[in-house]
Amino acid sequence: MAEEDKVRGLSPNDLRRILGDALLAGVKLLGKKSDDTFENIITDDEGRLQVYDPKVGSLISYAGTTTADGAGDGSTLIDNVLTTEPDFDGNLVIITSGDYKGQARDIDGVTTGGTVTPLSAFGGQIVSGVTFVIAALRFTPAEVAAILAILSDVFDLVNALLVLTETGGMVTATGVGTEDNVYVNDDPTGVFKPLLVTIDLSDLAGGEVVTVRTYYRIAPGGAPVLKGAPVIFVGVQAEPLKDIELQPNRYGLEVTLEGTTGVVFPWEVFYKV
Amino acid sequence: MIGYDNLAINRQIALDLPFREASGLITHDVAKPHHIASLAGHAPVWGEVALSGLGVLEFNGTSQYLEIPAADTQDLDFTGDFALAVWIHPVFGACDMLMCRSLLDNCGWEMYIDENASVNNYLSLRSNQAGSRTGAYASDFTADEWQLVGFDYDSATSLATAFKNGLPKVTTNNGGILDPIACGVTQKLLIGVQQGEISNFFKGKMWRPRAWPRKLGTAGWAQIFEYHRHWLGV
Repeated sequence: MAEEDKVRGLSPNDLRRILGDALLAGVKLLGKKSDDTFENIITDDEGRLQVYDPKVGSLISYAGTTTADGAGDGSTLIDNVLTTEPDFDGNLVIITSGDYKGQARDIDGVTTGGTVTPLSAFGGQIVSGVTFVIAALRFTPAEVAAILAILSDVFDLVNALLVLTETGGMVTATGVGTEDNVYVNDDPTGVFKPLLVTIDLSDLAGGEVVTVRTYYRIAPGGAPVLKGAPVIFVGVQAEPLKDIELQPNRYGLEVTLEGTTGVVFPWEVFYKV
Repeated sequence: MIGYDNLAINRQIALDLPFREASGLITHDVAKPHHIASLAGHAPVWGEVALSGLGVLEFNGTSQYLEIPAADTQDLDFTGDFALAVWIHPVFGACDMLMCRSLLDNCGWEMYIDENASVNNYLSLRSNQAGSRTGAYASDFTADEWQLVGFDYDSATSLATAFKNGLPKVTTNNGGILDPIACGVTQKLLIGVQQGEISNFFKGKMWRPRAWPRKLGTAGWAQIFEYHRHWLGV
């Protein structure tokens, strides 16, 4: 629009103050355009001049008033008129009246159903009758969205990195003839890397015995299968900490001990998962 | 190598039960305190998330829960800042306990969910004091879907903030929460049932209850959500 096309003029209130109500009756306020044609000058309900500036107007996708109460936690606002408008998903919604006037949020979801869902909730419930504006502003342009997608891919890889983890416990032997579980991961989520189980045999006294076994499952289903020969310890151990090295696994493994009744065996396991 | 304790989110973590055993009657804490949670006598069922194979526990809402002895859980006797987090796939009942170490109107803390159709269900945190209790709650915790839920409690402001899927929820604090009174060796840590172990059973699936003697903050909550959401299809 050319500079001279901008509408300039006095408002009806201005004229009323100058001329008085009687003289103003029947007067229509017009603005003259550069092509010598006239158009009505728009005022609001209180007679204030409404100036349309296309530079500003281009930033506003929609202005409306909520037609019903939104969610109690401020996570939606409702305006049925939006069902007649295009989708504004990704634009910015700004509350312009009520308790949360001035709060702005990215829109996260289609709006053609009459509900605006902000990316994060407003400060509280957006009740019926609240005015709002949807701005033609998108803070996640295509280029940023592309970067976010790449970051998400990188984050997936980071998430897949195995983390060295540790736990432990204490097993009191039930008795010879019964295997007690030490470390068990019976159904891993996927490939992981158990490293080492250390068992403390300090409580093993003369004449007492413990047998340690390691079982692996190398295919889905079925019972874990013994791997390697059982390791037997008898009597007092000069070096009571014993290491059981473990192998990478996908379908489950367990380390058990079978010992003299009542002997207590603290243990610790390290694995990458 | 990534070490568990080198991850900032795990600093000071006091309880972390990833349910990796997938069988048996005990499950081990991978945080430093090495708590051992017992299923014996009231065992929930070992299950898994179909999408990923992630191991979870399924609670029947009538008799199943986890417990860790009171004497072993004094490090969970929070009396200042703390955070509680757990993934749940709830089937709502009247009032279902997620985690507690408390005695009503006496000591400790508890986190539970409440069925309330009009607000899409509540998540509540209760702090017990001698002869009374204070609490906070937030709405919009949906039934029958996986969600990461929990609270940050800030002792300095006496305010708790509920979180769902890494984002803060509008939380009602009813004038502020008082710090929980220490329970000492009197109360177990219970997961899936209220103290007394006869009521308010959780029904649904659960994964990885965790607790910290500090707040996680918005960034921390976003991190633990993003870190595991793909396992649960969220």
